[in-house]
Amino acid sequence: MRPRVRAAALLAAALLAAGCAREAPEHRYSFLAMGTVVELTLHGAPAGLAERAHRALEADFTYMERTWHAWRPGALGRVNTLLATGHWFSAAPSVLPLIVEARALAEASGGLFDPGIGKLIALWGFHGDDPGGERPPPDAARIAALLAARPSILDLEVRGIRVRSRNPEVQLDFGAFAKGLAVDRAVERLRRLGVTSALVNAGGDLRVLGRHGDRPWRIGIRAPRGNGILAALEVADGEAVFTSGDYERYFTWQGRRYHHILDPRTGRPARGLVSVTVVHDDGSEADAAATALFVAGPREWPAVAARLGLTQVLVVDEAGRLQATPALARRLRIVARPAPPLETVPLPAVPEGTAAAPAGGGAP
Amino acid sequence: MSRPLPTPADLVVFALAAVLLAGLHVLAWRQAGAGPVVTARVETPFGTRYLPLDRPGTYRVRGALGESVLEVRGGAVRFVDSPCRAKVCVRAGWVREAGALAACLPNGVVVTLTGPGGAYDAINF
Repeated sequence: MRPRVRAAALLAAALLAAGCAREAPEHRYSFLAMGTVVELTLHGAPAGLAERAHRALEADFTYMERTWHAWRPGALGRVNTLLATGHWFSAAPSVLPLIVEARALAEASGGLFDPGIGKLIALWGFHGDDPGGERPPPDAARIAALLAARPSILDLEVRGIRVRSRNPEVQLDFGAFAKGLAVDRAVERLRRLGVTSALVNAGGDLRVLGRHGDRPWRIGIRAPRGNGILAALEVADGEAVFTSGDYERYFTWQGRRYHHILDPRTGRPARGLVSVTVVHDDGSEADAAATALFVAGPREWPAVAARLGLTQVLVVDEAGRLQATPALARRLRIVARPAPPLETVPLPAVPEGTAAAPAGGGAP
Repeated sequence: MSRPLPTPADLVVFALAAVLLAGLHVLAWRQAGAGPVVTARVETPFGTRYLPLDRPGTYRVRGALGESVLEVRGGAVRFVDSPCRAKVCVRAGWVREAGALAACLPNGVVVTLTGPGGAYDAINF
């Protein structure tokens, strides 16, 4: 190569390298929907595609919020009104898939996740945009009366698009499930739009698409008490990370915390754990499972996790101790200082034929 | 065929290339722009504002219900007061990691920390 040409080539290469040194663009959007902040992060997408994705997701989330809202008028509200009649009716196509999928998960979780307890949730005052503050818990007699009726989503009969409730006390509240389904649908929508690298975070519950450029997406799991980050986790393409905690929606009375994760067996806030994190390849299953394991409590959660077909779970108990399944413990990097003790808990083997198969109807 | 290097024409080409690259740089940065570096992006029903975290102080922002009070100190931000009942935002305490978020949903005020070099792309809770 002649000196002049070589010098020009070198300079051009240097200029090009300087031009390429900037990372691919990252676009971040946030909007309020489904009672929380939804964040969309896109990596490497052209600005036009990012804008389109943002607009599509905001519209989708707004629609899903209106349709699945547990206490405002909407498609789910209409379903609840009709359930109370005990008659057969045609369920809205926007609500029917939730009923079918949630029923299967309720069955698989042994009723620990049960969206049929809407009346209990309302009785506890969690139907409202600002349920916190200092107020007394509901009257024990009223809780007992509702419990005696044993409302459950398993009381619903579904034939094609026709639905009826055998129990007039059943009211649906998909609070522990809808966010997961919404995140799943958002990721699916992004895929169809041609997005290859994204993170959808709905109030701390998230799912990722692809990788963040040349590295995986990095997540910090917040410590349930206090401010900092408890653990760092790299999340693979398609994985969802969902956490249920007693700090999300709660009120206090005489120094005691009453949170929104109700145990369908007692009609009261589940005790024993402060947070449950589930990593799974399906957002709606992860969402429902996090609730079921929270209700299951410190002793029962491994058995329920195994039955639900989960492999990656982290729980924090009231004393601040951590337990994780081997598959998740391997991936977690505890960053909190001083580092809390982490116990690895293997999941029990599930007897043949009893593992959860949500789409197919679940275990007896 | 050997001429002195660089020729005036080469210099013009290099200068043009440099200007073009500088222009592209500015364009690319602006495209990805999310306000100044290491800031708290505060979104309210009435618009978005940015608080630089290197300037300690108390800031009042108008929300759907009334005024939320934010404090910036030591590279972190927190809700000091808000007109909601639950005060979840106030109890959430300081937020300091890039990508982290504090919000008073009843008042429609959302604070997100933006900035390069954050350890996390998102915070799960």
